[in-house]
Amino acid sequence: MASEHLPSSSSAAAAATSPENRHRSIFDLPVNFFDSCRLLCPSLTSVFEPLSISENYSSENPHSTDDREEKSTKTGVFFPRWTCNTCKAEFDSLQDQRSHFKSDIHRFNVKLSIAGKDIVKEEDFDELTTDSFKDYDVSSISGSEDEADKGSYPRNDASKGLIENIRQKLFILLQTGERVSVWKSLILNESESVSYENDKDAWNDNPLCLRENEVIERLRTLIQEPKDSTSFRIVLLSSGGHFAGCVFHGNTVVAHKTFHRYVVRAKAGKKQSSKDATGKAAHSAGAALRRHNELALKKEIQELLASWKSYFDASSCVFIHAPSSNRNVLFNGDKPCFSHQFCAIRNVPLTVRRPTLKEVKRIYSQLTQVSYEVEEKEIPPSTKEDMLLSSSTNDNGNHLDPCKEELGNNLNCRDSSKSPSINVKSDTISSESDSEVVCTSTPLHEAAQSGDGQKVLELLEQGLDPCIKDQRGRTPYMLANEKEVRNTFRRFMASNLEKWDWNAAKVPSALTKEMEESQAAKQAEKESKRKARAKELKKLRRAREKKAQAEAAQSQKTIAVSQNQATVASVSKGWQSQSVGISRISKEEELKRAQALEREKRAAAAERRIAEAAAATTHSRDAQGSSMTVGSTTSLQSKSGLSGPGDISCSCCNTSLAGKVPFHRYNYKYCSTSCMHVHREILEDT
Amino acid sequence: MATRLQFENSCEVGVFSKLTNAYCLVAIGGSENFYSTFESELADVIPVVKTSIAGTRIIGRLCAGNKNGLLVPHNTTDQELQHLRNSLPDHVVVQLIEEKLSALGNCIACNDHVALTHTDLDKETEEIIADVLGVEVFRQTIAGNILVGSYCAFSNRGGLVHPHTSIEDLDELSTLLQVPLVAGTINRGSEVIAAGMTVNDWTAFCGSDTTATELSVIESVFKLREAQPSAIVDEMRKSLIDTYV
Repeated sequence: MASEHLPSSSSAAAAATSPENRHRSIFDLPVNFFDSCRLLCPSLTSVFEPLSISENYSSENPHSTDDREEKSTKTGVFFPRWTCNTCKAEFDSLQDQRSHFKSDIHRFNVKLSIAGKDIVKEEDFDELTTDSFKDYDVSSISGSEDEADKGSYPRNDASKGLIENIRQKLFILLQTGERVSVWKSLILNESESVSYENDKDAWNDNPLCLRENEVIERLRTLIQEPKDSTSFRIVLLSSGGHFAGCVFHGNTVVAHKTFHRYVVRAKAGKKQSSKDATGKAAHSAGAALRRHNELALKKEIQELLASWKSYFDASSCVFIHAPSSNRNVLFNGDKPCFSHQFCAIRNVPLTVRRPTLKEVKRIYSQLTQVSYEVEEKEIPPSTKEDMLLSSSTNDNGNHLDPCKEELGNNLNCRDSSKSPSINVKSDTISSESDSEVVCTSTPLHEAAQSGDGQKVLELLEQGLDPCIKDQRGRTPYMLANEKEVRNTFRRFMASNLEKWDWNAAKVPSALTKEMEESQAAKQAEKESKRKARAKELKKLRRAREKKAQAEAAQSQKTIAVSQNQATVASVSKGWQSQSVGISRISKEEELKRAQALEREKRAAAAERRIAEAAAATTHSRDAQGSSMTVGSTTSLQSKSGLSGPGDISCSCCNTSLAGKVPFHRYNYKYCSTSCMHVHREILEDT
Repeated sequence: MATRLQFENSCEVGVFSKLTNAYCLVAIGGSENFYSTFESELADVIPVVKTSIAGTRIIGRLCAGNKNGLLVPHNTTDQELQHLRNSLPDHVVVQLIEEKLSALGNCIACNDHVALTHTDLDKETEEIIADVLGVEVFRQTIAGNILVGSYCAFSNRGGLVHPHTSIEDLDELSTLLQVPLVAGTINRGSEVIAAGMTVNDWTAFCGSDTTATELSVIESVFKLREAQPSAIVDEMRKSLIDTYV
């Protein structure tokens, strides 16, 4: 574990190589290491520059000269070349060369050389990948992110993260006068905090607050821990479908297991379950696959946790990193899915990369590491302020508010009051501090995002710059969701065209009064057009309805007529009219009508018989014989004329006799007596 | 022998075809000329299959393969995959690769024993390449170019690499791959070797812009003059046939 660490660029290189300035695992320390040491309060001590962070920048430089030398000595070598020109290495055999070309270091160096950077030597590689080269993901697994977009690690971020680290660490002044730091979470539970000597009055009543000697005592027991005892530490990491769990005893790995399942939606990001939770569930095969995989992963993890019960029972603490929804893989509500009555659950205070065995080991070695601090500079005022600022902004609504004036306490009470993962918190803080350096989210951004047009206008009139971009490079205009807010920007642009670079503010065009008026006019015109059209449609619909009604009435009438016709006309004619009516009436009606027809037919036949009998008595025999058929029809007519005066007309003037009582003479019918007389004269004349 | 041809007025024949020792894939073109050239050279030895990959004609750049197998990118359609499985010989494994770099032809250069790959390919992809193609996989660049599949073409007998490859790199690569390599160009000076040509152990197809000099370099480094499918029989004729009757 012990390895060389170079100091920050500002400190002397000679100091770095001195043997005692090394980061060591806490388990490798001598038993009397923490004897008569003193805990340092972060608010009073100067800001230390942990060595590991600056490694990134200084470590490569010394190699470049070595490389050049090596290159110059190597130019004489010729075929067969068991070499790697990228890594400036030579090999004894083809096997060695081939295995080198398959190795991670070669791949890493190829990437570095393509990016125009100096390569690293094999000796340094392992150490480098463990903590300094955070931007290069060496062990590639599927779904690895694009390395290109985070090519360099900005110096600023490092120093900002440093402040965060200080809050998570305990600083100890050793007997020898050296300062070392350990992670708080190694020995303290989240609910616990440390009281420093200078503020004991404020913390006397808090049972969760540890005194200095208690902390030291814990450290001592930690390093005096017997090597053969069964006290484990377990690290569980879970994110993005990856899970890695590892059981450590001291520095050795006792058991480990990693899982990977395809759960994150490709390109779109996020897990399928979080996508489903938005209410828009996809039904694709991929979605089904991811849902299944999430369940399967959860099951696998829980089976593993169950099978590790003996380890959990014997462990002193469990370090967990499971951001957001990953938490419910390890926890059932608030209760963990593993037995934990003997061990404390702590969050990992470091930035965690993709959960792999390597990462778990890295996290663990970092957590158990005792790092030496160089005392080199006083706390810069801006950083101090920064700390105060971020802590006070984060402390809103904290029940421990009164103790705010003490920064150290403040930080601790934040720790104790915040139950969710420390990483989440550290992320938000680091992003906050980023924003102060690179780009900021202004009140204008907030107003635009909240859709408060009035506020936006006010702020713009106050002279806030609409060109300022927030952390994600968005101008206030881009954040405006509502049209009215966007229009506010455009209106303001129209009136203050010269004031800002509106192109940079991403406001597309100005919105003048005239434009608005013309737009309103257009809108009104459109509205009226729409109304007219609606009216027309309504009218049309009504007309259609009327027509349909009329048609229905018509069909009803024709049915009635046809029925009448059937009764009046001969049987054959009745059938015909019925066939016309068939198309319009329903089957039931048809049946009814058929029955009625049948009845009428029978009635008609009966009447005919009666009429015949009557005719036989009244008419002469010869007349009867000649006009047999005629008589039958006429008698029918005369009879049915009463019941349904269909198309009976006056025999003289041919006017309809409907609704009238006709005058009879022989077989003729007349509308009036005069008609009868006229007709008689006509008949007599002929 | 090396043949010069065009694909619909384009000289980048390596883009529209994939030639291995066990099969040949050609893109579906407007005219049959391209296909029939391959057919006349190869038909009696290996199957020539007309196909598209992911609905495109740039099949040579999207897939990678040798006599053992064929790797196709994740955007290959099921129909295409089925068609390839039906058309290729049974011993050729067709495998779809879930890899974000989908132009496998540009990322992988291989013969039947070794493969050079893009450095950003996943570990899992690397394993699949090793398993399906039966090769040793090395991550390397060709003259500083990360797209090894584009800037070199090699068979089991020889290889042509990017013209800017240094002598040291050339030596190193040929040691690594165990085939003689030459730096050269194709298609009258084009440096994208694999796009301009496609080659196997006994024949090569080059873009019609390829000059006679380039062609002679190709024929000598890939040892195509003596190499015909029947060459081995010709060589052994004496020992195979005792006497002429």
